[in-house]
Amino acid sequence: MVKQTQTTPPMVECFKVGKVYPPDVVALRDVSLSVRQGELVFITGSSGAGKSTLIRLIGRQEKPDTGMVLVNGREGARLNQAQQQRLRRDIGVVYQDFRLLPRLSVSRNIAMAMEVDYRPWRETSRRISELLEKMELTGKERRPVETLSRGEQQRVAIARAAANAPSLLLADEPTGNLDEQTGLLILNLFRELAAAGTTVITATHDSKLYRDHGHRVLHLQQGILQTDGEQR
Amino acid sequence: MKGKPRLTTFLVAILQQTGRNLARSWPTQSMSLLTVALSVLIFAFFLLIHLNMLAAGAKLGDELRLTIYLDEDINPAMQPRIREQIHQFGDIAEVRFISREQAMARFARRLGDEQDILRDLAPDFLPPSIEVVPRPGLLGLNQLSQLADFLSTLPHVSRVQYGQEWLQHFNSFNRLLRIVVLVSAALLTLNMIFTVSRTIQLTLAARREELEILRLLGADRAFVGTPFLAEGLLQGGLGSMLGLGSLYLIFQWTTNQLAGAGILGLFTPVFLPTWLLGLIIGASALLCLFSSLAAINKSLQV
Ligand SMILES: Nc1ncnc2c1ncn2[C@@H]1O[C@H](COP(=O)(O)OP(=O)(O)OP(=O)(O)O)[C@@H](O)[C@H]1O
Ligand SMILES: [Mg+2]
Repeated sequence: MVKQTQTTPPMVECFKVGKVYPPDVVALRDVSLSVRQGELVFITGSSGAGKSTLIRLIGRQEKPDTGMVLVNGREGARLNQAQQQRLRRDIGVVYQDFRLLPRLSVSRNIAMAMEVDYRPWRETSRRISELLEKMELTGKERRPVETLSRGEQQRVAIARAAANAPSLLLADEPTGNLDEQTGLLILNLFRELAAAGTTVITATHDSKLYRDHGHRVLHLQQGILQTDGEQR
Repeated sequence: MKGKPRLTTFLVAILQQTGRNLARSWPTQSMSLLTVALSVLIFAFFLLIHLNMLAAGAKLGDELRLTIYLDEDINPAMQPRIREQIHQFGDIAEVRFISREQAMARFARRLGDEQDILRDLAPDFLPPSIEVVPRPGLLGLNQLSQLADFLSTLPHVSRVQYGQEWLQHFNSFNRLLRIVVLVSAALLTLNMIFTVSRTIQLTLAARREELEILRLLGADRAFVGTPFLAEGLLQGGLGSMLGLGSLYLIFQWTTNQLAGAGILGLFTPVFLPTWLLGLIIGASALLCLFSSLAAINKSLQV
């Protein structure tokens, strides 16, 4: 729907964002960046560089200590509770630890994301089977999530984050437990979502995911944004 | 892209969520429902007895009359004045003046075949009296005793009789019942609030993990809170219906037993009127709704 052109409005903007964890761990320092609507961006850096922290700040699970984070032109602190909830439903998040409900079935876990957004039942079930097919999980709909392998659970978490075709998808190490082949499934899904207008921001160690594909990569080092550009 | 959801979609989603929650927590829910039912049963039981005692009292009161025993016959010329004074007091159906002779004649009639025993008595053996019959249902027991007080101030009155002792017992028993009804209503209220909010705390604790995920997914107040409100409403509504239903069965059974024993010739016991049943059910449902509202407002920061 939305073509990636230079005139596409920014979806995420960070201005001199800093985050310090007590007592004095500087997780992020003066990070400024702008990600346009429908863009597919990777955040890289070694362990402890601040990737997850940046994802959490953009997803409003935490507040920056300095600077400002805007999503769709709006700052989190200025939204009331109902607006924040509505925004949450429009941001899909793949958590590093998945945050699934282990006893509930695969489809129940995904359906929850669509139910809180009051999607019609038909749309929900159609979307779930579509996503499970893409994630190669067809046939496992009724399985309790706790009986799945880590890699399968990770794909359920990705399907849930993508379920509402959100405006923004934040993924923290979405291929951490996946082989290269399966990692490509995820990359393809993210590309499809981006082509349909979703802004996708992915934190990853996995250089195979973005190398050779000409995607924009933000490189963090000890909380500082080192490079921002295409990597080949 | 994200407009307001259609109302039906919204309702279906919330109903589904409520149903799923109920399906998972029904053991806790039904314990709480039974507690509500039991306290409604106890309260309504006392209320039923109280109402029936009041009805019986009203019926007995209708048959009450005051008899004023006099030292002397009242001069017939005075009678209209006294009659007027009594009528001024309130709604009086009838005032009868009974002379010594009339009293004797009535007594003789009542004795029937055995009136021989009166032969040796002086014809003025019985005192003259005034009988005052209040209009049925119009004089409460309080007014009756006020009327009695007033009548005892008339000239030549020796004694006013209207079954005071019995009435006082009856009255104080009814007062006691009223206190029991009020106290059990208060306990019922406390019990409901306590039970419902405790049940909600239990279910909240059991669903903590799920609620955290729902919060992350951006669920709004309506989605998270409505199932809890519906649970409160159901516990109050169904619980009180169950309590009142059991009371009705007990009532039916008891009246059948008593009818066999022939005790009910005096008055017909009545069940709680429909409007009162509706009131109890509605009030319980609302009460439970509000206590669940209070409980989730306290513990759900959604
Ligand atoms: N809640 C927290 N409390 C204290 N320190 C924290 C907290 N979260 C992160 N940190 C610290 O902030 C720094 C950045 O952490 P972050 O999780 O963002 O790194 P990362 O790039 O995601 O690492 P990894 O690749 O291992 O996931 C680390 O030094 C970490 O120890
Ligand atoms: Mg991380």
